[in-house]
Amino acid sequence: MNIRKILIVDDSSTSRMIIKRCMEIAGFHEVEYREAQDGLDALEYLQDNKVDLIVTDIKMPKIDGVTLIKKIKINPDLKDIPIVVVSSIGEKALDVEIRSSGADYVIQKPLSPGKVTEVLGDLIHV
Amino acid sequence: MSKKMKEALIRATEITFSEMAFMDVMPSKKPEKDIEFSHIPYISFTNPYRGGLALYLSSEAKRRLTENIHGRSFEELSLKEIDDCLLEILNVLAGNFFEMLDDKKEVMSLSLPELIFDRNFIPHYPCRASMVFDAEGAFFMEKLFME
Repeated sequence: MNIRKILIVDDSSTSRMIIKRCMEIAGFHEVEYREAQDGLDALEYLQDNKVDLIVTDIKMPKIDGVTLIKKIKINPDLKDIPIVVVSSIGEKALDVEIRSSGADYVIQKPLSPGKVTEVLGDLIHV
Repeated sequence: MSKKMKEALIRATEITFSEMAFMDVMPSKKPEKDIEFSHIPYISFTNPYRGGLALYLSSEAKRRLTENIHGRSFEELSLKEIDDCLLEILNVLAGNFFEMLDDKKEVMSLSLPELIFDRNFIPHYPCRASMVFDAEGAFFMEKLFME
C-alpha cells in the first residue's frame, strides 16, 4: 500500500508531534502529514480531503477516538482507510471496544519508532 | 506507601521519561521542601481506585523535559506548547503507573490531565505516596493521592 498522506488526530499537540516524528523515523518518508485536534476536527477534514492512513488517540474532547472510528467505518467513502489507534495504557480496558470499533492497529504510548515499525511495518513503503 | 506502589511509580517514571524525553531518572533523597516548583500537572482517576497523581516540577526539570521532547530551546516554545507537553507526560506516566500497579487489569478511568497553579492545592484524598526524582540533575516530585 502506498501511503502518501496521513491524518494524525490527537488533542495534544505534543502527542501529534511525537507521532509524526516517530513515523518519519520509522520509515514513513515523503508523506504529507495533516493534523486534527479531535474527532470532530478530523471528520470535518475528511469530508473534503482524502488520506491514506489515520492515526488517532482515543481520549479526546468533542468526538472521542472510538466514536470517530465507528463513524469512519460506516462511511462508504472512508471505510477502507486503515486506522491506527495510539493509546495510553490507561485505556487498555477499552481494548475490546477499540478493536470492535474497527481499528486496524493499536500502538501504546509512549510511542517510539521501533513500536511503529513493529506494528506498521507492512505499510511502510520502501 | 506499599512496596508495590513504590516500585510501580519508579518503574513507570523511568520508562516514561526515558522513552518520551530521553532522560534517565532515579529516586532521590533530596528533601521535598528544597524543590521549587511552578505549576502542577494533575490527573485524577475514578476507577478502580479514586484519587489523583500530581507532578511537581522544578523550573530546571520543566525546561529539560520540554526541550528534550520538542527538540527546541525552551525560549522558542510557546506557553501552550510547554503546558501541553507537561500534561502529555503526566498522561502517559499515569497510564504506565496503573498498568504496573493493577494485576487484575481492571477498567481504568483517567481524567484529562490539567494544570494546577495553586501552590497550596491539596486534593480531597490522602497522600499515599510521595517521591522525589533526580532527572540528570533536574529534580521533580510525584505525589499519589488515593482513597
